[in-house]
Amino acid sequence: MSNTNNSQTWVKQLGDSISPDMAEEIDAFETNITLRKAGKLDAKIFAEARLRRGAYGQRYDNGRRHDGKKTQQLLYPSGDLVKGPETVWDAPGMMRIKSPLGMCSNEQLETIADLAEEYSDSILHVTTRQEIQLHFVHIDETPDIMRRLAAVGITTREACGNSVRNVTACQFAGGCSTAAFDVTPYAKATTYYLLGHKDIQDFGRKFKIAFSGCKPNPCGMAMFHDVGCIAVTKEIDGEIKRGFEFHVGGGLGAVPFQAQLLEEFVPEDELLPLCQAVCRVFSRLGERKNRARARLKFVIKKLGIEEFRKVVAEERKTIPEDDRWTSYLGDLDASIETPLREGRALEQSAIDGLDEALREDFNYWRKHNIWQQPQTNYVTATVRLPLGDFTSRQVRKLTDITRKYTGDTVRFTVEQNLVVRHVSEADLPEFYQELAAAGLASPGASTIADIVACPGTDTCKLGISASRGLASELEKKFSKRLYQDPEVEKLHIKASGCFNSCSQHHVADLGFLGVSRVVDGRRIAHFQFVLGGQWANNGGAYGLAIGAYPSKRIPEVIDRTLAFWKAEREEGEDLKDFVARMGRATIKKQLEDLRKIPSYEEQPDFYTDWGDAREYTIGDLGTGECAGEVVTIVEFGLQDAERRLFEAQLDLEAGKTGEASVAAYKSMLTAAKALIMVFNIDIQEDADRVVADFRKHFHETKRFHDPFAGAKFANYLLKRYENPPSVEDDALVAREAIEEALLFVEAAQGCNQRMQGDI
Amino acid sequence: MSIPVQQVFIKIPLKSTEGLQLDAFIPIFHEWIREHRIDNELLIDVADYRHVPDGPGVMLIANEAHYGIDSDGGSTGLMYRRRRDELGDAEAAFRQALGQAVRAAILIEEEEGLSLSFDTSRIEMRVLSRLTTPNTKATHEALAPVWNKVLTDLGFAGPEIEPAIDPRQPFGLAMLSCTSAPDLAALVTAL
Repeated sequence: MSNTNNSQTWVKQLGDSISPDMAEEIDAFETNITLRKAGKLDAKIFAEARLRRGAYGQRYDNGRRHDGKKTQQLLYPSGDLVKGPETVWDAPGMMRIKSPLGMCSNEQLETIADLAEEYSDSILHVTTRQEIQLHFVHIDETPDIMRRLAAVGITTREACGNSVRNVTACQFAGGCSTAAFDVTPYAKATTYYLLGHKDIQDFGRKFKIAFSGCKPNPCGMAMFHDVGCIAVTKEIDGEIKRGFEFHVGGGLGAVPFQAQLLEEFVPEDELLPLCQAVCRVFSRLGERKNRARARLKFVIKKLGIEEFRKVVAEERKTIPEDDRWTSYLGDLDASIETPLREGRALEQSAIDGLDEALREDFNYWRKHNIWQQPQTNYVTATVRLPLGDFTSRQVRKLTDITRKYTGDTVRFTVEQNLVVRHVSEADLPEFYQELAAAGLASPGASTIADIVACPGTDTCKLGISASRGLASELEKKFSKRLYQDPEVEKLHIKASGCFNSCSQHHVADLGFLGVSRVVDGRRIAHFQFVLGGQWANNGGAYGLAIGAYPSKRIPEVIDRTLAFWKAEREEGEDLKDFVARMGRATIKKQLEDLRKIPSYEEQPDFYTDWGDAREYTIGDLGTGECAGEVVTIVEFGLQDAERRLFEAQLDLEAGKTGEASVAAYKSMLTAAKALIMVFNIDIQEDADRVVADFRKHFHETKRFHDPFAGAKFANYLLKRYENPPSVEDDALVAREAIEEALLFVEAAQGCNQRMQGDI
Repeated sequence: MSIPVQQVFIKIPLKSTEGLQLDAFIPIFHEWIREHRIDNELLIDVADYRHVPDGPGVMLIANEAHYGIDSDGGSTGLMYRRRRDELGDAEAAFRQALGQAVRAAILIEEEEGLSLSFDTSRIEMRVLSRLTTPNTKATHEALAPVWNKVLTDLGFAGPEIEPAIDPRQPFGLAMLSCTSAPDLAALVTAL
């Protein structure tokens, strides 16, 4: 390869345009590549080093791929050389590019477009953390990528790994009428203060920070972050002061937690030191060994919010003063964007002058994609990017448009779109037509058609079901504007390929997470259907799963749910309240027949996932009669566990939190017992016996361990056994118990499938 | 004076997009992977970008190059883009990329049920690496004669060539028309 020559030449080519610090960091990373290739750097250490620089692994990077009939070896030229455990050197990887607050200049965007064209597949993918990912990138090329990004002021440092991830904020900040004030300078200051800071280099897990300008709107999503800051003002001594409502310990992931209020009002000059104090406490007290319980939310759960508040306050006192805490406050206006054109009103005659079809499309686009700014006659336009994707060529067309109409004002959103800010209203018809010519005028931003999906089985190593394939199908369906009902239009759909919640499915009105089931010896892609979440109020409520449905039935599941809601809802009743009033059991009953699976002979395409022609299963079980009987008993037991889990959800819904907690625990015991029957058909329903046998046959043998999450799910049962639930448990505890039980039962399903030889 | 190149991109447009169903390429590309249908390539996966307007459609991801049915830039056709190769002689690189693209196009024409055929008189070539081949007049002067020679040697007559104008784009030469163009079979023989 000529990459070594290239990298040296890029160094020359870019010259002084890279800051010395960034240049040194990237050179050091390139040295790590050289050392690793020479066998002088441990694979695990190199893996952490590349993750901290934003270079992730991708699906099939272990050198194996199932082609629908059998697993084939991918014989990469690098042979045995690996870039981490089980991660082949030559296998394509993903490069995550940080863009604090989702902000990106024209020059930066064009650079990323060039990189996508040269090193990736010409696709830029916007993530739910307002940043860009490039896929199918070779590790040898990452230093050049980093250099070219650094030359335009972008770093990939701490984009992944156990660090402070991309700081997010409302995309409308600075152009929003509901915000207390513009959070932009504060979020930027937080980003650059913590970037590379010594106090964040020893975390046990990642740490996420978000800023929101107001409480009711969901742009910033402060409530599911480790630190969530909501802008507020307060009158102090007759003067209006800026500050933040400071929330801590939120998070989605496998077990979601709502953030808790740490301080009602943190004055602006205390923002950075308080963030730093929380980081230091997390670094000191956060879990190290058990990654599943290493996020800040578990520290707070362990200490309680009162004790955590005291610990943070004590830590704050120990931090030496730093000028950077306040130096930015003297120049808050530096982040104000100046519009390129004079703001002029849009005259009706300009719309009437469009031909009829164009006028209809323009009006529909304008209805959902335009955000009225407080600045007179200016609006923010959302460029909806289906599945968060756009091409290098589209980037260049977009920057032509922004240079013409607005200047340098693009921001990515947590809904995988981007916004163009400060568009003069009078320019909208022309602006729209130019976007349309670039294929960038998809209407329906933030509607039911604007579906968020994680990479899922397309490129993610952890993906179980095709979240992007499903999202693509649903996007096509809902883009046809079938639902003119405004209450339906404003719903949000989010699909994750596994339990890790990268699409943020917990806060969707209609959320999905990928799982699988085995029926008649064949594995079939499914999604758990999560209902009751709330996107508004910064992600104000989390939904719960009501059951797993075959992937190919999900469009019908949605149709049926919406039809039921529309027929039975009370005046003004949104879906979340409807779910709460009707109860999950009633809704689940409406969907019961959609769990059925046609035989392979009847409908073979049911046994593939969306957007993938391969059969989802190996389908070569060949079990004998005796084993077959055992399988039947095990599956029966697992179904019973699912039933108990659902009853736990119903208890929680009815406010019987203690009963819910106990029922969730019982569902885990039932699932464990079902598995144990393979080894001990006479196992009794006794917690001591079940847990002892589970330890012996499944935990100690690692038979139950998840291929990626290890003992995480087994520990949910063992932990509950050590600290059994009580009828006194509150809603928070019950909810956590249900989420854990859901994952345990899913893991039991996976374990059963593995035992049948169908991996 | 020629210059060395790497990362050559070739696009062979379809004669007609009538009846084109991008969905059909998903099982086809999976089968190509399963059956190792392309020589000199480690085929890895299929990337589905059907949702992107005028985008790369459905892509076949490989270690050495990516293939796809691409609609980027106004024409729809078979795309070949070399990912990772040594900086080397331009003529050899053009011929290598063209050869792989032509062989993939033939495989598509042979797919039953697709009824697609390619228009060799509008082949487009780009060189993706901006480091060694920025889209400048100097690059054009160095590489246009080489590309013309390759085309002439392969039997193209009277090609009308248009360079990529936007300096932000990779260097590229698109054939708008030609008085005579060899078909895929003739090209694969000549290559």
